[in-house]
Amino acid sequence: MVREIGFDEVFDSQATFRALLDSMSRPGKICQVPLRPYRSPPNGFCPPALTILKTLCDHRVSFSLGAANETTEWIRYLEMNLAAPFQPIEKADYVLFDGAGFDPGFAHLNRGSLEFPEKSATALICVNRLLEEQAETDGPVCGLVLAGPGVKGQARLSAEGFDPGYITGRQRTIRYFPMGVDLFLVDSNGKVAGIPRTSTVEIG
Amino acid sequence: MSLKDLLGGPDFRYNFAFLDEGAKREVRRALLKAVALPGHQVPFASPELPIARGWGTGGLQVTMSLIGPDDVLKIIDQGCDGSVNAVNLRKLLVATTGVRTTFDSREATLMQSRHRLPEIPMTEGQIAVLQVPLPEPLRLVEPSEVETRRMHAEGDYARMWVSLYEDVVQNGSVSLSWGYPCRVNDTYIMSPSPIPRWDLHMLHDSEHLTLLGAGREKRVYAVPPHTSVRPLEFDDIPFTVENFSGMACARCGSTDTFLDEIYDEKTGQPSRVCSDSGYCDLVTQGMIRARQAARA
Amino acid sequence: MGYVAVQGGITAIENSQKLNRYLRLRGTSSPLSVAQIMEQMGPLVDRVMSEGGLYSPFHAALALKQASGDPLEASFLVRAFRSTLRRMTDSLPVRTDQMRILRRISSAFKTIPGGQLLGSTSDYEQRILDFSLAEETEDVQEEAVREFEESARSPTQDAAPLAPQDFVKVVDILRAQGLVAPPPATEQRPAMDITQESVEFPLGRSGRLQMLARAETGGVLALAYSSMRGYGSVHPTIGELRVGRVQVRIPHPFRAGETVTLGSIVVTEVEIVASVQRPEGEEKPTFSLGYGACFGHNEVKAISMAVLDRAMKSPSPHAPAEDQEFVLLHTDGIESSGFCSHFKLPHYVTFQADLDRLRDIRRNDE
Repeated sequence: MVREIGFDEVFDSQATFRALLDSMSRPGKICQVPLRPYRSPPNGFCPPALTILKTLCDHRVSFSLGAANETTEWIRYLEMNLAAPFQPIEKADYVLFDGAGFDPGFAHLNRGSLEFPEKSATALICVNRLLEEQAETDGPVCGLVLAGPGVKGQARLSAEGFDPGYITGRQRTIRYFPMGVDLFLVDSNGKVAGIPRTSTVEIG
Repeated sequence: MSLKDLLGGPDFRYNFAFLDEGAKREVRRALLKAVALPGHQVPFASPELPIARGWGTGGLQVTMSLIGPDDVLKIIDQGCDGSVNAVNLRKLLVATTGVRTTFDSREATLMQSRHRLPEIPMTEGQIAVLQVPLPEPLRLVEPSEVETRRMHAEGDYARMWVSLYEDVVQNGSVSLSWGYPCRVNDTYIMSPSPIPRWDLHMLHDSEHLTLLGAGREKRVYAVPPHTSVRPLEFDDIPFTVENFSGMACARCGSTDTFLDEIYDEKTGQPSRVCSDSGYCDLVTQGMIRARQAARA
Repeated sequence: MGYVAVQGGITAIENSQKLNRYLRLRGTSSPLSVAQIMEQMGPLVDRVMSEGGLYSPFHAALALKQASGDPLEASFLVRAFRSTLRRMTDSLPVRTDQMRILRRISSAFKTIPGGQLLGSTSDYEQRILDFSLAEETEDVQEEAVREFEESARSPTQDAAPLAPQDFVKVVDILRAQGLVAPPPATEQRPAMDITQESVEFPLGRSGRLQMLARAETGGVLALAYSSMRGYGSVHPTIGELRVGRVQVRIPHPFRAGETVTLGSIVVTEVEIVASVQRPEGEEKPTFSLGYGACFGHNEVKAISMAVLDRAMKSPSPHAPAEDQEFVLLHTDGIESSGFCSHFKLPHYVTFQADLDRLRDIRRNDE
């Protein structure tokens, strides 16, 4: 368990941010975050998720974890590497989930308020693979059809190792616009896709 | 980090793109939420820069949080790259990043602008950053921040419509000229920054992302691509743009661009030239054909 | 137009900078030293530290030299410099009751525990121009210093008692008698940092006082004056005004429970006692309190801050000085002067849009 030094605070965070911004502005577009060789992530940890969290987090915001990974090891690893405090899921700003199984904690994410809708959580969901079109894969694939701001007409994207329960769960969190939660999906190759609360998402 | 670094002095080194990483992170977090809430003003701390408040610090902080070594930067003011303040901002950004700059809007990956969008429509690989003095469109009818925040939260925009109606009754049409309030994604009413009516359509269903920064007022907001941006208008009184009919640019002949009214320094004679100096240069130098021009 | 205009713009800016420097240096006098400004223009340096939001007499004096004495411009230089500095940690709350007093007065009581100390003030000086100052030589300077130091009973750098004294604050006397209400529970939030977090209204007291602390002196004075004169009258009695040195301490970086003293700074602190109020849930009425504190020696600012602090607590705000947004959003010198000056930027596209509208409306009338 070490503090990772493979991340360049200036240039890696800039490149990562541009990928995050592009993906959140264009739901359905898959972008690439820089891949960094981290030395000691916990077992099962998706390294690009650390790159994304390091880009966005510091002592002024908080993080949390889905139940599947809410272990002392993961919490300590992130506290050490983000310099951000751990908070319970309903209070945290950035929450890391395992995409393989829908985490009921998702329903408790902070949705902001009518006056401050931006004070809502951002969920970072780790999946096996992200693909732009419906492609040939080995494992079960969840296909998403997206529309809304940022999308010309419709966009399609596929995620392997992603429980569609997150999409049904998301419906409830965005019921009262402008309140809601925004999502990033990320895979171990550093591919990232953004789903803002303004997107309509269908499974298919 | 030595004490000497803390105290400044001749060897003091500024961070890449000037802003410290903590400040950039805060802007970045705000921008990601802004994009998820088109037209909604997201507050941020907005610490001071060496550029005065009111002179583009918001746009600058957005650009500083976006820019990387491979970006190509264009900065304009009133459409012109050569405007003194654009020159000054460009100087600061180049000094702290070393990025390539351009006057050709087609080459820019980042374009920071005060009061105009370029005549050549921006594309997917480009981000527009607009400087905003007064981000709150409802300030027209309500001075209190607490109250305008409530109005946005509840979608209570009745007083804006009443104000526009009274304007029409008094003046025959809506007299608002620049910074015309728009409805974004059929939700928030937003100020598009002090761009002329002429430019408003460029925000609607665009290929590019538009980010808006108000440094002094400490707000950022966004219009994602392919998002509806509609000026507030009455069904029976359609929104119109500035009237340049019968006029052409004295330099390049364009008849479909926003034209500046200028008075010759020596003779005092009035004439018209393209506000977008980059576009005007490209046409005049024969590098592109004018979309629509007067016969020579 | 492109290349030539850019060149022209850069040249004009560079020439303007050269002209500024030339105008500052072309006279017959020798260049001002930063030390001269620090030592002989104390109140001006203090004002710039306060409005710049950075306690450093050297940097404030340097900024004043660079700005040729313009306090708004100098404060801006300091504020911009401050935002480049790395934030290490937050200090522990400063103990003003352990202040090494340079000046201390109370209007509320004739005598107070610890006594009143007039200290250095121009309050009772007759405002008559002293023409001998036009010929102040180094000999005159040496003589004046020597004479004062010899005559003072315990000569020190600050002409003040050597050790910090514990003394009861006037406000605490009133508090002990239940005559001043404790701060309401809603105000007992953790301190915020306005330079690192976004400011939202209604703003908590920590944020309000911070904004006032670096507000422009003339701005807060004007608004406080409006309140004193009748726009929502706050008629203050100064419970205590004190000017002195306080220690700045931080928690020890790695030895838990210990502190490190970084040094000391001069602050001006004012507590005013104002009108009778009946706080919520309390049966008995009490006095209301206003508090002001700023870097350096600036009494007008600290008193104005305290008056506005009290005004902004008004349960039903009517007057401009009682409106938080009005007071706090319009008294920052850097923001207000920046926006004021921005009207000098080209606005010809927006003006063209206005011209178009006016011409159109005039056509409608025909």
